[in-house]
Amino acid sequence: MAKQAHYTVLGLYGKLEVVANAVDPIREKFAVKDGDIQLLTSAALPENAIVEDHRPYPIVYFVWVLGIVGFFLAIILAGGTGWIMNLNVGGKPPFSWAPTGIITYEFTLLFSVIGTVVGLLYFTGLPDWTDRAYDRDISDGALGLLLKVANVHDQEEAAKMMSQSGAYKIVKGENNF
Amino acid sequence: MSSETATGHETHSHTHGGGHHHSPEELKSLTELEGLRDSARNKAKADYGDANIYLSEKDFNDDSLRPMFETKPGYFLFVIALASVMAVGVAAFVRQMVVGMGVTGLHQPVFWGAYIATFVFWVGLSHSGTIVSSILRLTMANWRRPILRGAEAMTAFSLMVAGLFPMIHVGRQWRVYYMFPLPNQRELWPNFKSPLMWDMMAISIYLTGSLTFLYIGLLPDIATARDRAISNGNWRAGYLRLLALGWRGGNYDWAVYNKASLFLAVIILCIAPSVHTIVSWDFAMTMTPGWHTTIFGPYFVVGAINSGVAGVILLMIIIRSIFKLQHIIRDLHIDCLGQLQLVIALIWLYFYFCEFNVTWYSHKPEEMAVWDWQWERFPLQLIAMVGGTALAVGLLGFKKIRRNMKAMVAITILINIGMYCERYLIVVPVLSHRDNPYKWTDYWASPTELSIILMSFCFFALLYAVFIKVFPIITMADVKEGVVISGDVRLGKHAVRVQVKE
Repeated sequence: MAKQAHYTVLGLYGKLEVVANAVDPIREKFAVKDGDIQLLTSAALPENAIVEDHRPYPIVYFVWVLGIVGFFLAIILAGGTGWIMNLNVGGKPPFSWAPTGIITYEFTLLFSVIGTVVGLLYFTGLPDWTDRAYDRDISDGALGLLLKVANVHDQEEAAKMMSQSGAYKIVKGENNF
Repeated sequence: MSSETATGHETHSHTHGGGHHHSPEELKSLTELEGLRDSARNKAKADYGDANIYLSEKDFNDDSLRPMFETKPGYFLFVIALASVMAVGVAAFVRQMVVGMGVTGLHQPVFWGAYIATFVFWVGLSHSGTIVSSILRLTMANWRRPILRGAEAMTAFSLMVAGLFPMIHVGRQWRVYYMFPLPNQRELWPNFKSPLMWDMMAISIYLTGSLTFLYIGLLPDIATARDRAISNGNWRAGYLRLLALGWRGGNYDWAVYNKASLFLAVIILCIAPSVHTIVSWDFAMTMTPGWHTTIFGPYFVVGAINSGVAGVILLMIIIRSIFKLQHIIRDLHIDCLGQLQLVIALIWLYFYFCEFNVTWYSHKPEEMAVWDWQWERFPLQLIAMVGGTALAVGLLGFKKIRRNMKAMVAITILINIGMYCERYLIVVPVLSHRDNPYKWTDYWASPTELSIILMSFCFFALLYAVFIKVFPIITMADVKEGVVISGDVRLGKHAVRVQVKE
């Protein structure tokens, strides 16, 4: 599905308190929904401390689903191998619970790891090597308030609001949210 | 994208950081620390709190990325020296492949020797990295922050080194693919009922999980390094851009990332102990006296963490002194690791005592024969094994010792020498003294084995040295997070560091 045409404004701030005060008026003015305004930082802040975003991210489903896949795959691999290609060792049963259990445990965890990574990539939309709105000052501690708006007029308005609210640098873009 | 206005970067670098880094003047008004400001600042630099909130984020990035971006001639000499020693080991391995396993000291009935002891040692060393990292993440121990990367990298690299040894040990390496679940010309799949097969699966999975854990932890820091490399026109920009996956640190991204990191920490915490338990079952699942014991699983795991924590401490001290990072990996962090080492060492001694006491008190002849053989033939190794850890327990109780880097280096090396001896004593005396007395024999590692073992240590050091040059060795995002949520408040006559926790 093609992305909807949009405009972006990235305002760089120096202080947490300043950007915290800037967020709400901008959200109200442009009726911004969750996800269309973001705070770009080089370190995690407590969730919803500055920009509230209530979109869910149920990574746990990925962990569970992939974990279950690993569980059954291991049973097929470890148990099935013994069953189909039986090595008769001292009359022991072809399907042995203990070894199958061990392999199953390891595979379940391996696939859970994979599920976690898949979930992370799915919800963050990574990898994305396109030229998205960003400024390298962010990795040196600047706080980037990124806004997605529908038209140029709103973009100009938002840039003005950010500037007035204390942003020391404004970067405007198109279709690069 | 067009840039409209831009204020001077100088101003920005002093004020950015969202109030993360308070200048002394700001602190004064912010927390009413007048009169206590200077003492608080000095104390924070010395031994107080986790994060140094007086270091600006740009300065912190500069310092943390310096090991990566600045290379002195000594580094190349070091790498060449490592590679030269490794070349000897590679030559010894090639000779072993061409001539056969006869060039080793292995012979009837000692078919597991120094290779297997070294394998167990490296697997053990790998344990502490991710276990410590996971536990400290989950318990939100703030002193964990700068050391996580070094610990996680140690896990990944020691596992890579460990994985070589079963392949070196088995001989006829060209048939090693028999271990993989691939149909082969005999139309047989691996025998999953063999503990060796469990071992192979567990270590492969642990390595995969550890590398994933390391990479996910690296992601925000790779993005920081990417930005720095692009700004400086550094050659690293290409691969860093690729590996950063386009990370830009949005608030939603951070929320997802933290949740994923939490899941990974829990999962890795489940994998790690299982791996060394399974390694212990290589021994314990046999009916051999000295090996067939129920305590082996947890005993191996605790031994692994004992040597692993010592390994982390040693590496951290080396890194901070070579790259002058004493203000980031501070005495406080080594102190805390020393306290952790003390606890683990005590637990290991307890386990060893349990194993020894049960065997000695029951006095089963076949078990006692192994003990007697150990005392008779390997007294120095036994003394090193118990003495190294016992000495650590005696000394690590003192704060002065834990903050004395030379002492800590000596203690951690002693612990690891002891733990290597432990692995040797588990493998060799048992086999050289098993079954009928006419088979009893001595085993000495041959020059070929010693060369390959030495190669493994150089290989580990080389992997680590290369890693430091291609990725940030300090867990930057984690440290910054600690700074964001830190501040000083006044408590009576003192300034106290507090951190916000959700």
